[in-house]
Amino acid sequence: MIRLGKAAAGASALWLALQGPALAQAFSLPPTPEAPGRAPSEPRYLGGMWDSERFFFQIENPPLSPDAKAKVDGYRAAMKSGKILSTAWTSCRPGAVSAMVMAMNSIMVLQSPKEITLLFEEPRLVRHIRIGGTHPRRLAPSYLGDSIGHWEGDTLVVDTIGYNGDFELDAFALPTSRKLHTIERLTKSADGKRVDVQVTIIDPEHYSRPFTASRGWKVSGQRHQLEYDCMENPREEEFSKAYFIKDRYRPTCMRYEGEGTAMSRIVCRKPE
Amino acid sequence: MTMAKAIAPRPLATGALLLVLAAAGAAGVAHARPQDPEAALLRVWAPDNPSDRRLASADQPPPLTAEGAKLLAQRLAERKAPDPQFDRTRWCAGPGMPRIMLMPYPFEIKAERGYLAFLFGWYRWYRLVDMSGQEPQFELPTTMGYSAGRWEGGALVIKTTGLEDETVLDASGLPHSDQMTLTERLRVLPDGHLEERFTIDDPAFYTRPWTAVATYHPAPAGIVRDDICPDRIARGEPAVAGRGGPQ
Amino acid sequence: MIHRPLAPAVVAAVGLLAAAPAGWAHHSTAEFDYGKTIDVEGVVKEVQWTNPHSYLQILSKGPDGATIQWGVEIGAPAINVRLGWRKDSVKVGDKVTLTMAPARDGRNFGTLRVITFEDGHKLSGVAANIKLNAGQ
Repeated sequence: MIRLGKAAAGASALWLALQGPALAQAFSLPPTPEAPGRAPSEPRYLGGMWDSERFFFQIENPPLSPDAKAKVDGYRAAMKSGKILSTAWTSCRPGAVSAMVMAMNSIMVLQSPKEITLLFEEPRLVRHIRIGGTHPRRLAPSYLGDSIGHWEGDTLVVDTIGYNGDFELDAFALPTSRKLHTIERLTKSADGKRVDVQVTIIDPEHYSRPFTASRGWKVSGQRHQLEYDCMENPREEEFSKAYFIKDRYRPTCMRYEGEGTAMSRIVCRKPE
Repeated sequence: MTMAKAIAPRPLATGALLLVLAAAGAAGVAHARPQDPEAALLRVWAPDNPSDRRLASADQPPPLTAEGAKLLAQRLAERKAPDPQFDRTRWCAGPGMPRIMLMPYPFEIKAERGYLAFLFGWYRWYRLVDMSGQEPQFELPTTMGYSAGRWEGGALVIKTTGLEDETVLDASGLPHSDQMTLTERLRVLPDGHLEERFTIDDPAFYTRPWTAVATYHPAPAGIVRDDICPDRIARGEPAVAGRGGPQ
Repeated sequence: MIHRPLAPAVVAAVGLLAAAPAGWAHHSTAEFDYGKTIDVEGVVKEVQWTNPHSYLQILSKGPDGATIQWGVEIGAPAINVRLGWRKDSVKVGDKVTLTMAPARDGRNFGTLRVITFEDGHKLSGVAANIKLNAGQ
C-alpha cells in the first residue's frame, strides 16, 4: 500500500509546483473562484481521503422507548441462543446514518461549492450533501434520506430527513422509522488531521429523546480505497443461523451450487 | 471496433429508466469548451445505447488466445441457461471495470483536489482516479482496480491495473486476468458527446492489445440514483436492466 | 455518547470488543464461542477469498483416523490485507494448523484466531484478540 509520509507528500507537492504550467493540465482543479475553503488548510475544507478512526459496531445505552426496548431485548435473546442478527447492513442495504455510525476503513470526501459528497469504502455507499439547500416538500423515503448542509462557524451541520426506516442503526439492530431525523456536525481539527463527527439521532417512534454518537475520521495516508462487496459471495453459513430482523432481509438465492452438506460447496439453497 | 446495437424487449420495470436515458440523448447536448476539457467532463453522462452491452461484436471479435476463446465459448453457451454462473452481477456482485461503463445506467464525473471520481447509477458503485501522477501500489486486486489519470491535450487518459480476475469484461463473458492493463481515453467531442476508448492489454487471454469505443450523452443532474440491487432482485427484477438474449 | 458507569468485567469486554475488526462488523457472530480456543491440523482443500467473509476448508484426521473436513471463517479481503494477508497467502495443499473459536453448535466450523504454516510463520485472523463473548 502506498504509505506517504508527510515528508514524501510535501516533496511531491513541491516537485509538482516547480514543474510549473507544463503540469497544470495533469493536476488541474476545476475553476471555482467563488468557493470558500478550497485550500486544504482551510477549516471549511473537508475534501480528501480519511480513515475511520475506530470501528464501532454499536451505539451504547440508547434511550429506547418501552416498545423498542422490548424488541431489542428480543434480538439479544436470539443472539444469546447462537443466532446471527440479520440486519439491513448484513443484507447489503444499509442506511446513510448506519455508515456514519459504523464506518470502517476509508472515506473519500469530494467538496465543491454546491455539494459535499461522501464515498464510503465500507459499507459501500455515496452520500450527497447539498450545501445551502432546503429539503423538498415531497420526499420519497429512501435509505439515504435527503441531506442538506450549512456551515456554523467551522462546523458543517448536515440535516437529513426522508429516511425509509428500512434499516437499523447498529449491529444490535437498533430500530429506525420514517420519522428519523439526523443532525450531524463535522468539524476539522486545527491541525487538519482529524474530523470530529457527532451524529445526533432523533426518532420519536423508537427513542424517548435525541441521542448522539461520537465518531472521528483521521487523515489517510492512502490515495486509493479498497473494496468491500457485501453481495459478492453470499453463503449458506451466513443465513442458515440468522435471525431476520425483517423478512425483507431474507436472501434471494441467485447463486447456488453443491449438494449435500459439504460446506465448501454450498453457496445457498434455492427456495423450494 | 463498433458497439453492438441495443436489444429489445426489456422488462417493464426498467423501461422508464431506459426511456429517460434515450430521451435525454434526443433532447440535445451541451456544447463543450475545448479550452477547458476537465470542466466539460464534470457532469452526468448516460450511455448512447442503453443496454448491457458487449465490447466487441460478432463481425469484429476480439483477438482471443485459444484459452480465451474456449472460455468465451463456455460462457456464451452458459448464457442460454436461466442462471449463468459466470455473471456475478446476477446476484448483485460488482461488475468491475470496464463493464460498469457499458451498463445501461447514468454516471456522474466529479473532481476533487488530485482526483476524479466516477459515481455510478448501479448499486452504489463508484471509482476514484488518482490524478496526482503517482503510480498506484496495491496489495489487493479489486473489481474497479487502481486508476491513475493524466491529461494528454484534450483527452483524459486513465491507466488501471490491479483488477481482480473474477469479473468479466462485458455481458458476453469476455475474460480477463488480474494482469490486465486497461487504458481509457476520454474526450468530450465538439457535439457534446463523451467518447471513451477502452484498450485491453492482457496477454493471458488476448494475442495483442485491442480497443473498443463507447459514447455517452449529457444527462440531467440528479438522475444518478441510489440503486439497491438486492431490493430489485427480491422483487423479481433483473439485476442489470435491459438484459435480453445474446446480442 | 451517553456514559454510564460500567462494571469492570463489562468494561474489559467492551475494551476487547471495541478493538474487534470484521468478525464483529457484519453481524453479532453469536454463532461462535469466543471463550474457547481449539486447534485443528490439516491440509488446505480450498481457499475462498471473497466478501463478505472468506473461508478456508481443510482436510483433517479425526480421532478414528477418518478424514474430516473443517471450515474456518476468515475476514473480508479488505480486512485481511490490513492484517498482512494476500490472496495467495494460503494455497491448496498447504499443511496448516488453524487456531479458532469454534462454532457453538458443534459443527466442524469456527472463526480463525491464528493460522500457523508448516515453516512456523503465522497470520492472524479477525478473532485473534476476542476472548469474551458479548454480554459476558
